[in-house]
Amino acid sequence: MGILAQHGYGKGDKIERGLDRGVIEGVILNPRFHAPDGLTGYVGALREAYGDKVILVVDPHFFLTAFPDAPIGQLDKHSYFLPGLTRAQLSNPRTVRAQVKACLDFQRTMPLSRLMGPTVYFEDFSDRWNQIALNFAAEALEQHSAYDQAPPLILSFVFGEGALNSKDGIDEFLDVVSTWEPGGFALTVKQSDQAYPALFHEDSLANLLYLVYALGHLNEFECICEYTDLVGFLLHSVGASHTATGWFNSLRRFPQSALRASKGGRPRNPRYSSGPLLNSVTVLPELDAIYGFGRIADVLSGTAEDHVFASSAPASVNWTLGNATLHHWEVCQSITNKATDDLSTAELMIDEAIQLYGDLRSVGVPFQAGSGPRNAELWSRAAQTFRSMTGT
Amino acid sequence: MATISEAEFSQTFQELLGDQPTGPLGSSVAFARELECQRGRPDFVLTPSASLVRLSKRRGIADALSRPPAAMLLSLLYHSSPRTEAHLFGRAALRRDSFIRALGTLSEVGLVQEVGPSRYVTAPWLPKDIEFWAFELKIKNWRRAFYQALRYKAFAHRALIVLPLSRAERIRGDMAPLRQLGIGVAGLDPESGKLRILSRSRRTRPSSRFHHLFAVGKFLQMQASTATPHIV
Repeated sequence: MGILAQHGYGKGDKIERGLDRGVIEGVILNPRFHAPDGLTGYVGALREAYGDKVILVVDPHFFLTAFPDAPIGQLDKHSYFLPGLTRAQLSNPRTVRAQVKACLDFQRTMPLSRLMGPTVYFEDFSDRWNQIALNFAAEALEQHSAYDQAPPLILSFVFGEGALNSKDGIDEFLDVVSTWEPGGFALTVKQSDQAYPALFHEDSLANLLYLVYALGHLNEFECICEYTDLVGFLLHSVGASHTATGWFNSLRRFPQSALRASKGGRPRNPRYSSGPLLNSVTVLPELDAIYGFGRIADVLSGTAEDHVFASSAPASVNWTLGNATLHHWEVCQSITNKATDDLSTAELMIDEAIQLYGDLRSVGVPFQAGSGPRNAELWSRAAQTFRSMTGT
Repeated sequence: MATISEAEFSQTFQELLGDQPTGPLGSSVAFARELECQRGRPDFVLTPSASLVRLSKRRGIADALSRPPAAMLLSLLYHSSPRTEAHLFGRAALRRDSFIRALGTLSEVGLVQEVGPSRYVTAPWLPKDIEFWAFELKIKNWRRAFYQALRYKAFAHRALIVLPLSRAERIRGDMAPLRQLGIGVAGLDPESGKLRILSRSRRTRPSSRFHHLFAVGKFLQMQASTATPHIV
């Protein structure tokens, strides 16, 4: 139970380095970034190199079919993916049957640990798209049940954060899916806040905790949360089995740019993931300022990469994306291990992070909004709301 | 105090710099507005360095240093101790083709010299002392200016925030963190055009040689593209 790499553009050797170091347990691959032969070859190579213990999953990203402006990369080279399907087509049972078959058949050609069913994106648990998503899931279950010796089936649901505003909607959804018998569920939430680190709305995070708790803890389904960054430790504390995060900001929260082409990103501003702060801060100027105030030891995370900051001003360190990624995964793994299935410990960690922020601010360390304590403060409130909701 | 816009405030500061026979460094300065650095865009960057003038006369230096891979590679080299290509490649964390291109560019303009098989040093004429002062001007949000000024210490020897004089005087009680981190505070009276240093900046070596070299490249590029070299 732990961290998976969220695959995307520019993987280099990061996944292999993460697996070698043991800071990730596997990877969720995205066919958008691999042509079919390349993907099959890569999955085979990982399986051969790391054996059965590495978790290999392909998220088909089928939902992009309904977004005509979405950048689909190599997706349309994959036989299962048809771009531009309309809601009417996706509502047709024949289309659903054919698309599910194509998607699962494609995955069955590879030595994967799980099969992931195709889905469509929805904004509300009561809207028409949600019903289509449920239809796809039901069809995947039916087809999977006829397979002989296939990997477990993961049912994927991709939705906007607004869907989490309605607890009634979530309960109706749970009423349906909890009667099913898949191997598990994969949840991807497109947060309303597209900045990084992204901030959930308090109620929607509380409801997400409730959803994960219901699926992962009460119903004991495997529950994978994709595109989930440092908040993953909180999800693990209520029942998530795996959370996935990657090397770019767009792989650490589900980006709007996945659904609609963007003009391109800005140059990377290196960030340092701090376990004690439960957040990432900019290397320059925030970590550098913390160093300047003599407080660097308070925020270092204790990973193998940390030694470069022990004796040098952070601004002088070449904090490469590769090192930052390995470090980030190790931090996520570390905080997750402490909090897994233990919300009280997670809350204690949050309180300590808020306290540390207060100390740092009192000596004058300046933080941007996203680097400051607002996430931790919101997580604390969301956890309390979740407790009230569930009586835990 | 009559309300002043950020644009007017910047213009007042620029006129101050232009009016002085010598700059705050006690020698004639060149300055750049909104210099595009890797870490932000300071409102003003000053340099007194004659070294920069000498460097500007060498062809291709500005464009070479303005490319991050080349600036990164050069930041790993010294004149007195050769570094091997393998060592540089390992430290630079560049893709192989970017590394080869950067090394080629630096060699072509003479910034890097090969002194043995795959062993490199910097050119002896590369100045070590191009000094930058970075200024961040704000009408109101001094904390934001502080945050930005901290970033500029990556490439600049001194960083200051400049506020309207009355506002700068009101924050005297909050200056301890700025002093501790070496950020200076200056107050500019928009009516008289006079500048008062309320807290001196502390001179430090730029914390990132890479960012410093990149800023040198960008400064030279801007200088080359304007008619008045002392104002870019």
